[in-house]
Amino acid sequence: MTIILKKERRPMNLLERLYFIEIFRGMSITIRHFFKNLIFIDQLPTIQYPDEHRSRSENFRGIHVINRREDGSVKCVACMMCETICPADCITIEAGESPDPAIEKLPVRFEIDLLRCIFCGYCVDACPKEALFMTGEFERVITDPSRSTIDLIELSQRASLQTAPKGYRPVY
Amino acid sequence: MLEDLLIATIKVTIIFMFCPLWVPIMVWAERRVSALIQNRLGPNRANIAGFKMFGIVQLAADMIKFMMKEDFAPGSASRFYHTIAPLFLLIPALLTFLIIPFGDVIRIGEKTISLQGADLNIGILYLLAIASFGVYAPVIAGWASNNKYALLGGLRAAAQMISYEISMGLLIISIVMTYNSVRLNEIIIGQGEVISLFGNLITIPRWGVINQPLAFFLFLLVAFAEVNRTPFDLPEAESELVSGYHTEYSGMKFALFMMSEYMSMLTMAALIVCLFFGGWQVPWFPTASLFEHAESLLRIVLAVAGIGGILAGILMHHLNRGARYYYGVNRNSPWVKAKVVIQYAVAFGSLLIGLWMLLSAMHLFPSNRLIGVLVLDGALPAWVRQLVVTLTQITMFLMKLTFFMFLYLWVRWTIPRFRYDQLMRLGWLVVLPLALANIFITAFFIVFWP
Repeated sequence: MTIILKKERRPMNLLERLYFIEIFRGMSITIRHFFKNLIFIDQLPTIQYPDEHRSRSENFRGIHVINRREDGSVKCVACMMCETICPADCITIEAGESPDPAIEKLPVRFEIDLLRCIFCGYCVDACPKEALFMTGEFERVITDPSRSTIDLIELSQRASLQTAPKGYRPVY
Repeated sequence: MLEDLLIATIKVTIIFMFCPLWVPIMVWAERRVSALIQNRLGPNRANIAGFKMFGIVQLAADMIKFMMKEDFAPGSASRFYHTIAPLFLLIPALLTFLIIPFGDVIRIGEKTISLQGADLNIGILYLLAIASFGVYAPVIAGWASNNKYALLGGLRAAAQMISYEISMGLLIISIVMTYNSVRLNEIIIGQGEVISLFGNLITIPRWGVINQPLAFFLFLLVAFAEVNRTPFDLPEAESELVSGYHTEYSGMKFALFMMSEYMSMLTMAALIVCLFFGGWQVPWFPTASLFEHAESLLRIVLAVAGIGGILAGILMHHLNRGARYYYGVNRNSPWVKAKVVIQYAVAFGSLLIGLWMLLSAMHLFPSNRLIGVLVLDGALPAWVRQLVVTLTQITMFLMKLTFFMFLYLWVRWTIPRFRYDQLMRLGWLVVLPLALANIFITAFFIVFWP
């Protein structure tokens, strides 16, 4: 159902109907903007993107990262929690036996299809071992749809992780 | 004879170079001014080795793009007319500028050179005649494209231009009656006189805008409609007609349309300046008076140039700092570092020169020794006088022209587009009767109050 609100418009008076005065008023507004922005050009809200980045929240849901222990092995224990909860069905995990007797399993294969992923962050919430986090990283070019998945090595050891800002994670 | 031919060739060449030169500047200004009016930055990324020149390099990129594009015509279009249509707009746009005077006639010995491309005795009638040819271009383009939007755009353009041309002619008649000549240069010389008010207490220049304020406002309106510029850009109303008569144009042919539009804008702005704002006249100083005060003029010109240099330096520095990432990815290239050094050197140098000029102009130094190169004990050689006067007049003309070109941008980014019926009603029922009335009022004043 649409509600139509009828607003009575005040009829224009003679000065307004002449247009010229109203046009001058409009033009004074635009020229004010022009000179204000010319003088305070460094205060324009434009973010000059490749050089300058918008400041992002600490919980930005960017590309995933798999954390590692002190000794360098991945924290993931292949419990399949994230794969189960994933609404986009983009995580593929293949479990294998861990050489460490204290840990039962480790992922032999852990892949996330970034073109399927909707970056909802449920996988991070589901992870019981604080192994799967997200980063603030969001710039990634996928030129070939068949190569849209990132594997375990890339998830845990890619070079951009050194500088990537922190993203969505259960601990702060 | 041969001499005259040479001079005419040089003048025409300069004018034909001058007009297209404004196009990239206007496109750049359009983009940056509109951006600043709308709280944006505008194009400032394209660069050559880090040199961006406040975004002007973007135009080089655009131009290369235009030239690289395929020369495409729709299969159902009439190829011949599709190709020549842009020329029908380009040629009148170039030709009309020929009669615009840039300055008073130069006298070298017995020879006089007028600073117009062609000093015709039919003067402004020539401009009206040639400008009317511009109507053919949208019609031919619209028809040849075989596209309904293009055709509607062409029809609109033709109807609009023809109906506003009538009012334009009538408004020009009232100006011609006031100044008693159809030659633009004589109209401008007529505007060099002054009107005395309250018994010589106040004198105001006898400009067209003061004699004929109504005609000025109407002419401004007509000029906008005549060059299809917002708020009257109905022929290319993108919300209704995609892009109007140049919907089917791309690449260099479209660039020609765009160029000729900007050049007709330039001609119209020049015409407004010539008819209503005294053309090359320096207010209160007609040519004879300028010659008389040539030395003071020289000092003032140098001082103004110096101050301009300082201001330009400050502005350059300011804009550089303002565009935070002005140097972009090439921040560390040696070219860019050299550029910064050069910029500071130029700004600082112009500051020093400007201060020196200013102080000399204010007689704070014994100026004859400081500007001794040019000032020869109060008596300038004739050619220097001529040069100073002519350059001042040309600069004055260009300043006025620049203001009106800016006005086009300013209006475009302020006022929304009219509806087509409003446009036609305005043209026929408001502007035309007022223009006619203006002629009668002018005639009345000329006859009864000479």
